[in-house]
Amino acid sequence: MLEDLREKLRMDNEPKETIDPRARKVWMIGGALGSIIVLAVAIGFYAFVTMIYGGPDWVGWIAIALALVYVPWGVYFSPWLRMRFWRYELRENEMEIQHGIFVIKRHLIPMVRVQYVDTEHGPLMRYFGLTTLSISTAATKFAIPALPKQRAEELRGEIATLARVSEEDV
Amino acid sequence: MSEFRRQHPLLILLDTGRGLISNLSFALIIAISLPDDIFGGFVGNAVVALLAMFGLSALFNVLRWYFFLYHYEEGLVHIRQGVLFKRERTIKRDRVQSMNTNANVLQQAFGLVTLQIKTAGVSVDAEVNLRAVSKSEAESIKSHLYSNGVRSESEPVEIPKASRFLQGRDIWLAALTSGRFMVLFSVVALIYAQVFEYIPQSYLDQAVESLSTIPLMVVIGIAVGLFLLTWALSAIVFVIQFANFSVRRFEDRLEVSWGVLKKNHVIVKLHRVQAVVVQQGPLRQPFGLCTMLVEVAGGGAKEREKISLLHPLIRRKEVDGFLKDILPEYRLPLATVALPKRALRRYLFRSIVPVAVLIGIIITVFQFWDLPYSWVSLLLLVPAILLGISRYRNGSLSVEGDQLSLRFRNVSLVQVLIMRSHIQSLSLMANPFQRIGRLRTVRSSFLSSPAGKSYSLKDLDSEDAKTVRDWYSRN
Repeated sequence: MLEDLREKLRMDNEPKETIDPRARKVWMIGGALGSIIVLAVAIGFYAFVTMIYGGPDWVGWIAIALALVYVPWGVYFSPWLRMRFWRYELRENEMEIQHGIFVIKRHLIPMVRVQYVDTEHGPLMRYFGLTTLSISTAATKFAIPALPKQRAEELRGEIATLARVSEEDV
Repeated sequence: MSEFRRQHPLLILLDTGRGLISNLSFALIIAISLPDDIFGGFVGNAVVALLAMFGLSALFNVLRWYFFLYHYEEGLVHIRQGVLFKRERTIKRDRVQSMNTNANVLQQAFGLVTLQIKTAGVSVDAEVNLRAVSKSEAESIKSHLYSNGVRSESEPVEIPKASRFLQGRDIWLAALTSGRFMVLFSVVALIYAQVFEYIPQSYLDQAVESLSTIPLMVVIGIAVGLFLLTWALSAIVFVIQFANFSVRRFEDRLEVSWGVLKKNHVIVKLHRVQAVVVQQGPLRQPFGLCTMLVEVAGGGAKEREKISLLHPLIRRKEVDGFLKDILPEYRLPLATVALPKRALRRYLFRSIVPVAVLIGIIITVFQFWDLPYSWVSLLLLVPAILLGISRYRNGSLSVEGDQLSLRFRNVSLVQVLIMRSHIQSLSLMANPFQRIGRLRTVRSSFLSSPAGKSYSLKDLDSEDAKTVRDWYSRN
């Protein structure tokens, strides 16, 4: 039964490659930081409502409860789901990307439409030696987070070459 | 034409006039802040401040006119402008993406037009904006930027391959069904609501008293009359705006022109057209009428609506013939794939939920204030359900040759025709419920002004979605 549901929730024909597993760690740390902020805001709200404003207790407690529910989501479930669904595949004429937590999105980007490829990294990503690769078309922009630095640079080079080879009019 | 030229001096008047309103409020602010006794009270202050502002802006506009120079030759336009900070700009033929002319009443009286030249850049305004050049000059500049190679004077004028006009009866039909009166009516209502606060209570009491003596029928009559009046008014405005509408197809471009008081002439190069949109508003659908638009890459955000107008009113049956003549590159799909039955539930869910929340709020508020008849709000569910069913029924997709066609409804019924080569990227999306139901949302993104745009169709069968994906895939 559960296995059946699991099968149904899967996307068919997923792209081949997964991103670096360390991404999950980065997201977990990010989620933990976010949780601290959310908790602080909830506690602040509680203090404001009950002590300064003199409102009923339960309003503040609801905020704290909501924040506590958010903690396991932000720290564990959301990074796990993101990691579970992140896939990409570079083919000769196109790039396919899949990602999402709740809504799974699958993008198909033809090489002819690629305008630029960039790599960038934030402080946390850099600490883990990870890089984000972003691909822009004239109308849309997609990013693959958390690729090992070397792999990202390889990919950037490959995409740039492939994009240059195929020239069509916009 | 190698020497530099200036625009017509009427430009000074146009610019000063345009700045007058903003100057007016600014002058009033200055007048209020000045001490009373300088120029003899508030009125004196206001007059002096206004004259000073007016003089300054006139002087500035004279300078700006004087230092704005342009010249053009085969294949390029060159502009030199700026009083203190000089700026020069050259625009070459192959970068030009569209050229428009329009003229307001004052410009028409002097035989002048505004010429806007746009390139494929992302800036919001037109790259070149000549606001006071004579008609013949504008034509000359246009022809210099258009013809490939030198075109001599004796060469015959290019004849359009096909053209369409909007007939007299049709424009009235278009005007009456445009739905703009709703906007106007709400503006009137909004103004009324704003003014309402400032009416003294005693007047209100009096009004209520006299109102209660007037029979209900008269009150309803006045409301209906007001409604019809705004409708008629908006229709007349629409007619004036879109009278003399014509669209012409040339080998490499479309030329659209319309308007009486403000004449517009828009040229769209064909390779810039990214998608064709056929739109049917709820008022027009019963009559089988629709509006046609084109999505154009690049160009200014302000002029967006104008650039993309292809035909303000056309019968649904005639769309096919119109496309054959004007844009044979596109065609209406012959066969379409409908949404699977299991999608209906999701469509109903999406249109009912917001209304249900609204009803919940209404009922709670009514209960709180102890007001009767809160159950009447349940009637809102009827249009919500009908809308959901209609959205489901009208959702369809087709892939024929190189063209993708999507049809969907929000309030208006929209059909979009896009070439494969104009789709920048294609996305399939599915939330957990869609995944369990084997449904996908298909989204196609394309280039439009000023940035990208996308159209999507929700809850398509995953097999059909895969067909679209494979059609788009180049591997």
